[in-house]
Amino acid sequence: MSWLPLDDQPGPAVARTAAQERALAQKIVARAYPQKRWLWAAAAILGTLGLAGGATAAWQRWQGAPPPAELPKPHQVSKSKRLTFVLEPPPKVVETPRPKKPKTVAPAVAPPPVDVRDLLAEANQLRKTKQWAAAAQKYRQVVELSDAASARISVAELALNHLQDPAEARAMIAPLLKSNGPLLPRALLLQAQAAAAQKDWPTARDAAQTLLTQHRSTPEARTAERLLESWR
Amino acid sequence: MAPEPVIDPRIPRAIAGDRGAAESLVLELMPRVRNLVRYLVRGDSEVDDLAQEALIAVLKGLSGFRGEGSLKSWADKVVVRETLGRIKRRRQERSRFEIRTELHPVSDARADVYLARRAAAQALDILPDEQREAIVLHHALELSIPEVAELLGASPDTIKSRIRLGMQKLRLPETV
Repeated sequence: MSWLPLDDQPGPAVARTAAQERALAQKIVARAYPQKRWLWAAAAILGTLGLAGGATAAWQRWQGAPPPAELPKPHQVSKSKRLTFVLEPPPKVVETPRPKKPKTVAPAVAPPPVDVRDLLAEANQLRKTKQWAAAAQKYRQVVELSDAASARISVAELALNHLQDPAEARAMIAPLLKSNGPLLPRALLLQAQAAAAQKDWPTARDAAQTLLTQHRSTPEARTAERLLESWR
Repeated sequence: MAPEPVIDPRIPRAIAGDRGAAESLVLELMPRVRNLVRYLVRGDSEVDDLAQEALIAVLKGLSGFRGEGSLKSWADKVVVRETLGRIKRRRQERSRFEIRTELHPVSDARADVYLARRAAAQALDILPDEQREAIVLHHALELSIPEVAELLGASPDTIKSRIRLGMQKLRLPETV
């Protein structure tokens, strides 16, 4: 072994807890992938301008007024022309029939709504036929659309048991560990297993121990007990 | 025919803007990147800031990863370039000898290893930057002399000399 070992184990950098690492990772991702807020702002401004223009045109049609004539620019107008303009008689007012009210027009192209239930059904079917990566991708879409806890658990299970990606499993269940929902025991067990797969023994033991002490009556607690036994 | 390189599925997803995949990659790389940065800089105070910048550089440069070799080896080089670049820029304002030992809870079995690694990094703190960087790249990253020379922009002979002098100082710390 090198006298300057470099790996994922604690040291020489000051050790950080899993929660601290997660917080730092989230900060890094937020900086690397900034939200394009200016795009939304520009879209909102354009939308507002478009609506205002549309409303003005509709009002003018409603009133039967001709569109406003473009005024000549000062430097283009000679004195004689300006004088002629003043001496001309006022134009005759022609009565025009009042047009019908413009109908409200629906947006031209709207994306078809994605039904989360359809996605879930597809994901379940893919998992049934052992297409692990495709199933995980569908469950991820469900998470993005609805943040369903059950879909998070499904992605984590697939990542851990079939895609050799314990880090994704941990990232997926991280929000569930902060909640006190009905899937917390399942999330804790996955946290223990994923951390063990990464050889992060303190986190693995901590999660298993929490299951044993706080959710003793659940089936997950019995599995945690067996895991703790095997890690001794 | 050489086999097609297998690319971690999270990489194309992170390139496409999938924040979950990016976060998962960052979480996996972070401990190693923090350790590498600590070897490269004196003291602990700048480690997290520099590691953060280095990991952002890794995420932004992911499209340059071709799957030849491991992601970690590729990321190591990105981290070295990014960190050394920032160290150079900060050199003027940096305090030279700041050694803080904050011990966070680690399991007993690993405590000795952890302390030994921190001691190794603190030993490097006595070296001038140029010797330290050459030694870390050669001994921690296990890069060859020509590779170290290329990364540091110096000739192989200069790198050999820096490593030799640095190693002598580490063996005879009382003479420093």
